[in-house]
Amino acid sequence: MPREPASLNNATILIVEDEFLLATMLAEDLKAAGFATLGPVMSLANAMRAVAEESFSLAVLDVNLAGEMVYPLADELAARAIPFLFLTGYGASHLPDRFRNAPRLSKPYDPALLTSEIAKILSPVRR
Amino acid sequence: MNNLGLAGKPRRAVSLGFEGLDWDRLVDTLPVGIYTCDLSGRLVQYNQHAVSLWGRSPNVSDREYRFCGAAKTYELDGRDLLPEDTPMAKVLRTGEALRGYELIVERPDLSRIFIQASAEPLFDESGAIVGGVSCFQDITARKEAEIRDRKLLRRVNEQTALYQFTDRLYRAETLQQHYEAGLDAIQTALRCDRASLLFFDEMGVMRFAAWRGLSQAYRAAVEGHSPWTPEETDPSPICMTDVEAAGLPESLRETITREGIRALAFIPMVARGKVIGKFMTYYEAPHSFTADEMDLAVTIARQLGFSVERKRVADAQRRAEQGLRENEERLRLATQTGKVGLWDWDILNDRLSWTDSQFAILGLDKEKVEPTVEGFFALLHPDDRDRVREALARTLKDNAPYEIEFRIMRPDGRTNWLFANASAFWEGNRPVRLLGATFDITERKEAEAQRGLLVAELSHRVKNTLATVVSIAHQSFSRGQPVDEARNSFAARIQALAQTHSRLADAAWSGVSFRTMLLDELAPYLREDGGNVRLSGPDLKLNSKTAVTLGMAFHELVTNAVKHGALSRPEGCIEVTWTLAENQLSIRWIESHGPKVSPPQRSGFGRLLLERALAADLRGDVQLNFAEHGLECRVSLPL
Repeated sequence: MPREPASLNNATILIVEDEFLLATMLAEDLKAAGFATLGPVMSLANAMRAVAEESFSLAVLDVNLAGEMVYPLADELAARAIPFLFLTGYGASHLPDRFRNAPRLSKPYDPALLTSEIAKILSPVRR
Repeated sequence: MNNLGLAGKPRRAVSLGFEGLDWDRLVDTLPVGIYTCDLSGRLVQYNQHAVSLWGRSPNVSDREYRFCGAAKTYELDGRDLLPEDTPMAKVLRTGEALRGYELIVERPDLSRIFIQASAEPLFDESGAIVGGVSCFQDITARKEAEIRDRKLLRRVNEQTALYQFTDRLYRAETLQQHYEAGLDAIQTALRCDRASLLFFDEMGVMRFAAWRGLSQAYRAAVEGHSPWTPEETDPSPICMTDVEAAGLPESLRETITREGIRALAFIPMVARGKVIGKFMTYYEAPHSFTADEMDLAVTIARQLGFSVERKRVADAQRRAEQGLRENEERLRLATQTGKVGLWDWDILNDRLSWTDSQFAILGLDKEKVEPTVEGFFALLHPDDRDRVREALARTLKDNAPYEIEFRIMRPDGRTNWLFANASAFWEGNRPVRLLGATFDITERKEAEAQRGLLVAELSHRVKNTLATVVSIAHQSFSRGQPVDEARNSFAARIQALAQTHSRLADAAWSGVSFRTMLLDELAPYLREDGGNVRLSGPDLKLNSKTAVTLGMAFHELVTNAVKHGALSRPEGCIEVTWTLAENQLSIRWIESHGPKVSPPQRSGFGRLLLERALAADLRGDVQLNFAEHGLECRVSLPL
């Protein structure tokens, strides 16, 4: 079950997704669940800049950004201990070994599941 | 002795030369038998020597003995010689002299002697025949010598035949030549008209290999029949003196007699302690097989069996050697192509050798690297090393098949996939040698990986498309429109998306023509004369992402035109023109002759797609001008 939006309302989610329609829907779904959103950013370069300059609690990452893989960004986030969630059409076996156990949701996603996954990832940090 | 008026010459001679000698005593002392018969064949006179030859003194008055004084006479071949067929009887009948006739006389004690007899007719003064005189002598000694000679001659002939047989076997180059030599020897030595050779085939069925004078029907009927199994260790020849009397099954007897065979013999051929076949002799008449014949038959069979088997072994060996040579040649050719490397590990001395192709596959320089087992393991990909080591250990311990795929990391930096298989050679239960082949299967592995990628890519696309469908649904149903209207819009949008996907799939995802995409959207609204839609621009292929996004955008433009714009009136017109300059696609959409246009109050999904999705997804620039005479849309995007 998703947490009460109130308990997460400080959380800002960075959206990294290159498909405009998906990114729009993702932002709307996250806002509806009570999160603040950042983005969507649609390219790896813009996403790297956002990580360097902005402050957020968690990133939702599309894996393939117009042909570029999002992994350098994931590495950067891991280095900064910022949690992230892959949102991808690829299977887990397609991810590099170091991300095999990273949180992952398959496209198309269930909005309720997305919210509860994010809540689960954020809750130990916040407790 | 009575004087029956013998021809005058002897009497004159005697009376001239031997005056005073008793003629009768003289005749008696002659070392030949002499007797006379009257014209009816009745014995009239005979001398003493005739008595000793006949073994009896026939009573002259006894009319039972006609033409001859012997108890019984036979021809030389053993048939009865009746009195009326004796030389004396013939002379009396014909009046012609008969000389040197040979016959057999059986005496009362049943002993037999060979006789040579001559007979002359006796004439009276008027020249009429009145009787005959026969003179005969014992030629038994000469005859027996002759028979001994003949037997000896036959033995010589047999030995000659055997010698020739041996010589021909020695020279024979083909199995057929062995068979022919065997058949000739059998026919010559055993004096049979017909003969055949049969051997067990690999299924243990006795089959004809060569024959003389046998019909196809006969061979077919009796083939497979054998009195012995191949395992028989000491088979004996089987003789059938008379087929009619042998008590054979009716059908077999009939088959044999229909072929004109009355007697036959089965002679087994044995080699290396096993029956390998038989030869058969056939006779047209009942035939008693003598011990000599059997000895000869067994001798021929032994010789023939031995050399046929030797020839077969030699042939098999030659075929095997030939096969081995061909295999080696094939392998040599295979290694020349560089696709197969061969290696040979002498385990006892731990010496490994590689062919040039093996060096090439491993990416090693044969001038600089010495083949070693450890050197090979050092090349293995670390993830595969243990697996190969285990497979090798299993092969050397349990002779398990060594067939394995693994990666090597070559000195040139390439990681290649190899397949290897090998056979171990054993001395007792210890492996002494491992002979193997290595194949470079990198290309195949890469193709497999490529296929895996394609499947993953397809799955990825399907999921992304579904995600797009969900987001279209999200947009279609969340703007406060009536549900029915939203459902229709949603269905139309999905259909447009599907249409673009069909076009892409038709072209194997290589791209879709911009004109085709536009026509697909506009086709339902074209007037019959086509005058309400004008398209002009160069042929242009859109990649899949551009096609999908542009397709959705133009679907929204068409939908809007149908609902509110030029396509809502029969006289309305749409003109689409596009140009491509420096990889920049510029599209103009101009509606005219439609209802008066006013800017919409709220921004719908169509505008969102046009203005923001095109910008975001295709880095495009979109300008919408709600001019009163008709909507104008300019799209510009890099290709």
